[in-house]
Amino acid sequence: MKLFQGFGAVSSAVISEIIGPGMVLMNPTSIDNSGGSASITADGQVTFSGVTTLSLNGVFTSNFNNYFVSVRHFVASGDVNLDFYLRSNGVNNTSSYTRQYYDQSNSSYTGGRSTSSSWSVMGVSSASNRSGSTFFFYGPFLTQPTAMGGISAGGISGAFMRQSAGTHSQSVSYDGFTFGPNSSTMTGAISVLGIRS
Amino acid sequence: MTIGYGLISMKPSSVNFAGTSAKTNLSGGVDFSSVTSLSLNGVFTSSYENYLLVINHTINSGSQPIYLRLRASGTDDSGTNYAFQNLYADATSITGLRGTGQAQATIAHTDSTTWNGDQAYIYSPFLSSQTATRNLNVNSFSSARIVDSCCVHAVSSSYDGFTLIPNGASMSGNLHVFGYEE
Repeated sequence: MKLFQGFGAVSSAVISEIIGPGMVLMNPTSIDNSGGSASITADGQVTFSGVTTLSLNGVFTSNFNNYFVSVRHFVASGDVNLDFYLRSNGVNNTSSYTRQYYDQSNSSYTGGRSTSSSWSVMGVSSASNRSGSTFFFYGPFLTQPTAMGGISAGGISGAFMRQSAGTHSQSVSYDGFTFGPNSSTMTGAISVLGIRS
Repeated sequence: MTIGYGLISMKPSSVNFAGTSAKTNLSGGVDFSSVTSLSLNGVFTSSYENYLLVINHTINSGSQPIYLRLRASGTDDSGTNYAFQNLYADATSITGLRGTGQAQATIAHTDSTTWNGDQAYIYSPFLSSQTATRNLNVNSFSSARIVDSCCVHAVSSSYDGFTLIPNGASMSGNLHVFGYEE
């Protein structure tokens, strides 16, 4: 039996599927950017051009435990890291992050970890070719430590992959995040989706 | 163009567990507390070929792998039919591990330091063909570590669920199974 969510009461019969959005696009309550410009489109996607940082507020709520973030992006020059901060009420948390990554470039694999850091690194971006990243946030709105993961495909040396993991050790509720290149400026579009719990 | 939801929530027909508690919530996911095994039945159906499993979890102590067994009609396949390949990124160390002829797949890792997360893709479990999985795990071992894993189950049978087993530990958290609309 299939249930179409939002069309009446839940039946007590066995329901194998809940037909409804498995992911829900989260419309930011507000955005903040340093440099360049950024705007929220009608469907909740945020487009940005020439920014050094971009903050999305109100994208983590009590409705969902976990979130999926999809970004297309490139930078004005060089090959850069994408730095991330968790954010609450418009203020970034700048401590208690640990980040782990591994990079694959041609036949070379490298990894690294930083503990007790003031930010998390979740991906890479490049001026050569376009880049794309997918990030996951586990439990950011819950009052418990947050886990984060990411995959970036970038144009470094033609094609480059980074997989990243991050943990934040504070039991704090966050309603958003800030991200941006560690140098240069960034252009692209980002969407945040809540994953049904 | 047909407008659909893309990902469809798969509410279990039933849940079995060993430990303190596990129950289906109103959103169709499962909240679990201190379980040593967790089985979801009826989450793979003829409606969809491929599935996404999203898990947020922690364990009572230490750092342990999480095993997966496929399940049909309430019974796990615990035969030596699983093969897995894992990649571990641990600071500057990148290592791999393969297991063949296993009684379960090592699909993820969990750690008691903080909370951990998984995005597991399960391909064609309900079809009477071999099943493949791919998982991206973020765990708090040494504060942050990546485990990237895949698994192949060699038996051409239909499965309607799975069991997760944290090795020698009890696990708490939330998980949700989604079918990919075709």
